[in-house]
Amino acid sequence: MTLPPTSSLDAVPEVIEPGAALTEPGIWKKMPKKVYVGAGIVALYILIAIFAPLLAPLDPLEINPVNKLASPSAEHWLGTDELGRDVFSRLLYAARVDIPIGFLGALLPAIVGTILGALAGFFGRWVDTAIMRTADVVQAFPAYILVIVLVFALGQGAGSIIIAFTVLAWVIYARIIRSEVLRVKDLDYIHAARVAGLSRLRILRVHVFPNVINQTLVYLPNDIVFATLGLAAFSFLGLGIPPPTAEWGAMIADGQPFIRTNWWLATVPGLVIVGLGLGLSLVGEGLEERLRA
Amino acid sequence: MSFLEVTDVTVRFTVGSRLAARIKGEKPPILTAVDGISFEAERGESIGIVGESGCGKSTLAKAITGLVPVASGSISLDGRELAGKRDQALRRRIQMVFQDPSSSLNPSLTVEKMLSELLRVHQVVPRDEIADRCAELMDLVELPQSLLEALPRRMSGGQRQRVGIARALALEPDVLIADESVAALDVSVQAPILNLLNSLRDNLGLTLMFISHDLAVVRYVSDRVIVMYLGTAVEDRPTAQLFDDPRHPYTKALMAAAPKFGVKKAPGESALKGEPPSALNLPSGCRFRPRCPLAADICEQIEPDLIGPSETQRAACHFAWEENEIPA
Amino acid sequence: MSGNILEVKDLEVSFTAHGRTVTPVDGVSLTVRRGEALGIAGESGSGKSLALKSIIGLLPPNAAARGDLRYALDEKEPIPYSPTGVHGHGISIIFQEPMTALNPTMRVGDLIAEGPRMHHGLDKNAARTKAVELMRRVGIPTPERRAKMWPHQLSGGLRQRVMIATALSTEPRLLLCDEPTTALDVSIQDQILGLLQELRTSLGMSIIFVSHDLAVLGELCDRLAIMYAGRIVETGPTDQVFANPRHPYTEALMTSVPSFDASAEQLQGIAGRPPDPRNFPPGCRFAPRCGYVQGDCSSAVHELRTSGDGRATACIHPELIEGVKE
Repeated sequence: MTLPPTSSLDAVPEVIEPGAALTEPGIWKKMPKKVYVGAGIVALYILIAIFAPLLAPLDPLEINPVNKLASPSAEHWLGTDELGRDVFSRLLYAARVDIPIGFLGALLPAIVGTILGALAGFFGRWVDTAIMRTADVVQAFPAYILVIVLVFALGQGAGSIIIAFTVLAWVIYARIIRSEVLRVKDLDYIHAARVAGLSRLRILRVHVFPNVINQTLVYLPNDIVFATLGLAAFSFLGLGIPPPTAEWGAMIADGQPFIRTNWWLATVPGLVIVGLGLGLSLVGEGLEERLRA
Repeated sequence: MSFLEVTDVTVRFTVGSRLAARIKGEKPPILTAVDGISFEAERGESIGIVGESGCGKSTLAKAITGLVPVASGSISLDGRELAGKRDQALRRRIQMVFQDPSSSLNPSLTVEKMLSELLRVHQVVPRDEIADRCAELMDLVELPQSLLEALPRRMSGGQRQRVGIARALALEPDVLIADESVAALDVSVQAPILNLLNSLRDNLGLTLMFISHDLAVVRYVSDRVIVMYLGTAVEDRPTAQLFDDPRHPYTKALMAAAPKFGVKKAPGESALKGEPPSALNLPSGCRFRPRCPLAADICEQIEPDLIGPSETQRAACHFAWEENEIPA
Repeated sequence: MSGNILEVKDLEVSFTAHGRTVTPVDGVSLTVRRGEALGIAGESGSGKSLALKSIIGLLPPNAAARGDLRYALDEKEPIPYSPTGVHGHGISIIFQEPMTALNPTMRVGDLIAEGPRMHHGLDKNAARTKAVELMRRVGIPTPERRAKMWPHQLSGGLRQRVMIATALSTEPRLLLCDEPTTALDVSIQDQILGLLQELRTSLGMSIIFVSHDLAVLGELCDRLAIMYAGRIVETGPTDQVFANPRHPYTEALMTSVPSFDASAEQLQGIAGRPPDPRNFPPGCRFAPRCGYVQGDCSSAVHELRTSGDGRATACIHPELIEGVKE
């Protein structure tokens, strides 16, 4: 027999404020401020990605060998790169590549991992064994080697990168959700649903899933940061988006030889990535405070 | 033929890691949580099951509701066998109210969604009557209908426990099992819940199985009480006789141990010495023997059967019925 | 302080969050005599546990305590209250759930030996011998063997005995008990109560025992204090309070638990719920749920008024409830 410790009940009287709303405010209400700040930053990036063609002063792909490695000027706000392309325009256009890949590269593994983790935790037995042993194999494999192999096999491009991220990153979601499902599965409301004769799929869908999905939501923003950084890293290594498409990681790589003379070529795209990472981290942290409270 | 018949039900669990045992080349240890329990209940009867932690009372409840599989024995309701696989219609007929109101309700469903899901899935009422039925259920458990919109975390422990009862009643069961259903509540909230269970039983003709560690609570709601110790029933008798004249030494000790108003504890005194042995390593003969004041040689050799002068007066002690007259 | 080991006056514990202050303990005064066992009864949210913890400085960090607390081991100068409590001055505490109160990474022998080593400067071997001795003292069978076990290897009852041994290791004069038997089985609860009673008489220790269960308090305590919504509503000798409660809440608490030996009459319970500490009703805080409520209950000042016979009640109409009794 386990009784809840009354001392904790003592500190938090389970009494309802008279006149208080009985229903919970939606999860989007009462968020910590940092969520709004973070979401604002992320929204700005998304708007830039959408409206890049309108915002960019010049064609990001137009080569001008005469005016290469120019310093910032009224015409070229951030100067030009080694091929004479306008850096500012490339920076804006790159958002159209980095942001969709970053978001999809996190969202797909989140979906796949959450579903597989929930199935593993809920059904146990061979389902669990099959899914979690696969996860072990993926995790035991050196991540960058796996990506290199996948990109070579599937060819360079956005699709391959997203598939590679999905293959790698679902594992962490599966582990988080599986352990959460294992915890929830043994609570009395699940027993009650079983006693009521509800089907296993319905119990998973209605009674387990909504109570574990928060864990995915909390982790997702951080994972978008990882995916964006990952894409930049792959591009830096020449495994990402093939040139001449503008991409932040590739821009850093291209600017690197000129770090002593034209330091902004590598630094500014780096700061742009940091800014996106900051926005997403704020959202993630705020969500965590709100949802895990 | 009784309405609910539990015959020789045994539930076993494997404890510890099967893998570890296999590596050591041993069989994994098997714990017999419920060891050959039999009882019967008529429609509308209220059975109390009392015992301390580890006696198997909750496992017995889970076996009857189908939450844990039965290793052997049979459970039948209205002549239909329940041990083994049971269909939805049969499941509906035995419902349960759980102990801990903080974990017994799905935190992301409002009361209305919780109730209407059951009404819809089991087609208890036509779709257009679901809302009305939800309201009726709230009336039945004496909760305001405004709480239909509420999420569990906005309700007090007593309210949540009433919602738990409404959820069980939504399926119009014949048998309601309440497992320590007031143990986690404040004392002033316990009484109204107990009264509610009593009135539901009277008004709806429910067969009630009330499981608790608290003799006084069991006494308040039960017609008959089964006392369990280490997986077996040691005494099974009508409430009044059991409390007036307990026959098993364990029942007597439990009664002596329960705190009573105005009785001061003598220094160092206790009704029952020691702790129950591990269910993995039972003593020979009578399970209560190592703690029993009456223990004799026969207790070491022969495990006493649950017997008595009549089917309704039974105790599992070699000395239960030897003194004074048999109660009527 | 003559004869008293502890005097608490006007204790207030409050929490401030989001610009609002709640005061779950609101003006509690208590005295405990040497060798006496005082029981504090109340339901969740009554503030009984917070009041107990503030004595030993174990309030949560966001809590603020005010009040006058004097503690005297003997007739010497009392130790005044400090926000950190009077920990280590001969006061120990035991909790409800020994599993969370005992460090799971230490063997129980070492857990018990920690106090003697720190407070009395015993060396490792002497402390270990002392631990085994204490374990034997609290009735743990085969203490030498069990001293080498981890907390999780013991049953709930044995863990509670280990916690009592740990509390005794600093030779306290006052033992605070925060629902120490609530999570235990009836027969084990019975044993622990017997043990506490025995320790108290043989060591001359004072005890404050907090519980929601009046009957449990009655087994051990000489005097009772009944708490409701942050205040003490009644105090008095245990047998007199039981025989003749002078506050309707005390009476309601007694009639809302099924009695063990009386026949099954309808239980009363208490209508409604305890008030929200953010919004206590004016006047008597029990008035909205009280069966004897009068017109002036929600306006009059309700402080604990002492009568000649060592009892006190905060009810301004105690004659109503006494009238019913006789």
